[in-house]
Amino acid sequence: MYEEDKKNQDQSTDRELLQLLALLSQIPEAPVPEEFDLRLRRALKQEVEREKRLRRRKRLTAVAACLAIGLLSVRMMGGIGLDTASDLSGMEAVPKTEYSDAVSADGMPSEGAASGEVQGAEETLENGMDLRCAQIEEPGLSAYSAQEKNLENKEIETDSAGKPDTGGESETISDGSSVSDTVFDSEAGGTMLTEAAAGGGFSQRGEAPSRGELSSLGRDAFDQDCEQVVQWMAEGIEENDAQKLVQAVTYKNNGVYSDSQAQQVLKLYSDLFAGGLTYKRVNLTAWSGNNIYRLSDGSRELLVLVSSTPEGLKLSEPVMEACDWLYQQMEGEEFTLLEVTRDAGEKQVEFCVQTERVEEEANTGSAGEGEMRKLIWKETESL
Amino acid sequence: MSTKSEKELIAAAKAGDEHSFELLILQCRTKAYNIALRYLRNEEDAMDALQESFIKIFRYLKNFKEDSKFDTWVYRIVVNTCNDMLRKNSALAAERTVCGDEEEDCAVKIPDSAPGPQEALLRREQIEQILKGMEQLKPEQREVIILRDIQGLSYEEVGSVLQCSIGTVKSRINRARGRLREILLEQNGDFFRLIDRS
Repeated sequence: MYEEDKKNQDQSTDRELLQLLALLSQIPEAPVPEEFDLRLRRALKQEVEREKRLRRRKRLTAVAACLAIGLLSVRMMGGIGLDTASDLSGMEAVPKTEYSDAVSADGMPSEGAASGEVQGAEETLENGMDLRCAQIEEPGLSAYSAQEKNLENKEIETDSAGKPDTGGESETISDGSSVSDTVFDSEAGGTMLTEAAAGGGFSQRGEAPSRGELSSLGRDAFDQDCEQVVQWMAEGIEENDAQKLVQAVTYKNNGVYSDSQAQQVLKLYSDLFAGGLTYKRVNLTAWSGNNIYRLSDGSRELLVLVSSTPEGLKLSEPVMEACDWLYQQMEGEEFTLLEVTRDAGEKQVEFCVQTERVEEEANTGSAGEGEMRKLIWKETESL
Repeated sequence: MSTKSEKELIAAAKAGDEHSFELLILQCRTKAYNIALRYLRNEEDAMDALQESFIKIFRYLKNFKEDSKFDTWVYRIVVNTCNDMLRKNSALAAERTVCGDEEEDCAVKIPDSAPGPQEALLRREQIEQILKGMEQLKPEQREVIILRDIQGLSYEEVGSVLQCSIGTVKSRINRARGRLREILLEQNGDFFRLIDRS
């Protein structure tokens, strides 16, 4: 009985399913609305246009990417000290400089790299030498403090500080590495011809890099940029060009150092130097983001510090820093700067000046000689 | 359209010839439209889905490797597009019924092929009930009913469109039919008796 009921039920289900299928198959196909063709044609045209635009954009993007890669490559080559034009063409660049900056495999200057190619004086610096410029400790110049500490910790052997240029020998530093030297020979055309100038980097960009850029560019690029800065300074002094000096001192904030200040400093430099300026890097192997250069005319010299600041490279030197203070001390009196001496131990700078000769009694008509004065600028004094 | 001409049209369309593409889709667009219409239950949505599908086909035609039949590939894209649209508009889709409240909005065109007007009306009502009952099916059950029982695709074609085996299609369709029968009986206990009478 139960089986028969089940059988009947199954038959009924099958019949109902067949009826269902019959009904489903009777559902007719609805025709595609006429408006659809027009819509589709329009959409296809838009799609074709879109594809054309996309293809054009891809082509442009590819070209832009190639250009970007090319520019980056050129910049990187500049960063690692390659003279792109000459290296890529296989032609040798005209040797415009005496500068030799042979770099060892680890990127550090190799010992004796500049040997025999430097016109600058053989000079080594004594332990505890007076590289520590007075302004290093100035509160407003805290950017130099790291460099100052670094210098204090270095032991540098020396023969005779201030010895005139004899050429041909590199400086010796106690850590065994040599310094790399650069010579600015104003007599040979008055133009600094360094690798930096020939190879790009800062000199091509026209502005100093920021600290962030420095870290990405690396030491070689930083060195090139520093040399460019000192080159501008030397050229500014040589050509009595205040603008060039301003350019050398500050880049990204030109308002800080005015033309009139630069003129005053240039006057002091002209007192100090007789001409024929050379510059030479007196740097330590360890890279602290600061480079020191010795600017000299053979008899007198100044140490110039180039350091990286958040605003870019900054150039500093005692005459420049104490210029305002010096003029204040002289109270408008005409004078000539004879000598600048730094006392490392006491962290002070001694300026030796000669005042102009003064008219004595009008009735005698004779003129007296000006007097020589020594002015000591201490780091605690405001500039 | 012969196989050769279809291949030629595919080649021309792959090269970017719009006219060849239009000819290529001409043969399968009615069935594709009906699939979309049964899925989405609305003419406007069905046209949107079909247009989007054809644009996709035009865009990716160069990727069509001709391993399967062209129309099967088209139906697969239409089904996927409809599923995407349903997912996007799930809330809206849930509100929709096969026939709207107003008679003129009815998306289902029911033939008037029956001998008498009364029979025609009865059949129309029955089909409406079936389509309404289909809304209560699971999506995977509904799609096999649409493709196999309404559009008349073979098991192989359904398997190709849904990218599953023939065995899966068969078992899925059996369950779907049984479930639809139950739903129709729940809606109207005399549903099949009325069919017998008609």
